[in-house]
Amino acid sequence: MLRRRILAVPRLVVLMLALPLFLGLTGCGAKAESASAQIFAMDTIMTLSGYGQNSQEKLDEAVQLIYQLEDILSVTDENSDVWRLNHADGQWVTVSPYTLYIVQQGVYLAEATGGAIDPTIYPAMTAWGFTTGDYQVPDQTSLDELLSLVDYTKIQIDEENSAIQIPADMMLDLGALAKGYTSDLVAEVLADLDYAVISLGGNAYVIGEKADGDPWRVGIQDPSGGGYLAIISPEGGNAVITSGGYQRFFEEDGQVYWHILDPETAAPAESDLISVTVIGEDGLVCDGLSTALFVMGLDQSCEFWRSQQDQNLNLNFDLILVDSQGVIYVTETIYDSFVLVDGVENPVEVIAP
Amino acid sequence: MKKNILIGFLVLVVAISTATILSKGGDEPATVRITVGGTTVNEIPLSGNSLPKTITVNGKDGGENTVVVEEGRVCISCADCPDQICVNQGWITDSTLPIVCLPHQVIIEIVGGESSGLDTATG
Repeated sequence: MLRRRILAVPRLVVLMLALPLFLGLTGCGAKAESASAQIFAMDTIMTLSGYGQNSQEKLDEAVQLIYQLEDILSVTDENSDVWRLNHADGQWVTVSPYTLYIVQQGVYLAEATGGAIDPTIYPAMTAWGFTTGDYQVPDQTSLDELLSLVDYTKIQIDEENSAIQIPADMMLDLGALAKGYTSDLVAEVLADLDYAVISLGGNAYVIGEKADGDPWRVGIQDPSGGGYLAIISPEGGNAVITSGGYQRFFEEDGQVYWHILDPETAAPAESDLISVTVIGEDGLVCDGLSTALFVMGLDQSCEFWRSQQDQNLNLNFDLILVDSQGVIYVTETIYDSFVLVDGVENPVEVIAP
Repeated sequence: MKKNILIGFLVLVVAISTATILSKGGDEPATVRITVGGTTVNEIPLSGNSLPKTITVNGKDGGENTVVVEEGRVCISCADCPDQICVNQGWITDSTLPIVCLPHQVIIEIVGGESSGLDTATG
């Protein structure tokens, strides 16, 4: 789903629907129970559901963890790690282990993708209005100035002291990573359940095996309209994360500007892709790559997938790409667990290793 | 004696009905549920002669979202929120993912009806 910045969403919109749903007559005598929770956090709606022993307690624990992460990673909450870093005037800032890890991984993914994703993109996101919804097209002079502020190589990390330093005027935005990372940490909390589904505003993570033994069925939204394009059936323990330009965008003078910015231009990425879905065990990696590969475009994305083994990247992922002509590209390793939705006639091509 | 049997029967009927409702919630006809700030403000059947139907939802901060319900699908056709994400989402046809207007705290979701067969979705 779309990158949404972390925003301090007021807790008054919290909708706790954490009702234990006993399985009616068929559930008699069984101690395992199903539970679900729906909350607003990180600028989106999140749904957790699971089945197993103590499912309610586990879900409650997961919800608390999500709020904790939101407090730490918010760009607008003045007590958050990210806010303190962005207003430290170039000084070192001691951060939580969560922040340290996500920034480390962000820099790692930036390096791995040749800067196609950059955790320091925040000033550019702000200039375009994607952080507030007050959309505008900055002039070229502003863009050139912004570019000097977008440079992940300037992030200093002191792992031993859990501290980070960025130059004054530079700002971090972990919005392209935070939900993926959150899904990883929530998945750890729910790992002992028989099965569970984590949906963080359209970022999905599935855990375990369903009671009926049926495969998981995760719908991939059709980027050119309502409904679904395809269904992917990942094994339990995998994230499915989609990025595209089709939900958060604006139009001015007939031109469409979407929220995924190319760190090289500080402007919306000129991509031949309209949707990038990344499937893998590491939600943070999938989240970051879904943005980076959108920026890189079709050919480079395929190359990047092929090279994941020999580059020692320690990344393990599969792809479903949709180009601007509607052609769907699926990596060979997951082709057997991919089906088009009934009635969808888009051409499908296999990305071979 | 007869009375006791009758009461016993009534208790049994109530128990079975309750159990049936609990275990078969999914068989309720599909309905569009509209909530603002967590409170349900409207429920509209997703099928029937009253469709198509266009209604205005008064969200938080004085915001307005125009909701269009057609046979089997619902969308937010326009809204005065800054980000327009709710409008850009387009139509939904099942309960897998709701439409959310975060600035107005409006949620449009489909409840009941036939299962989509999906466990979740991304996009």
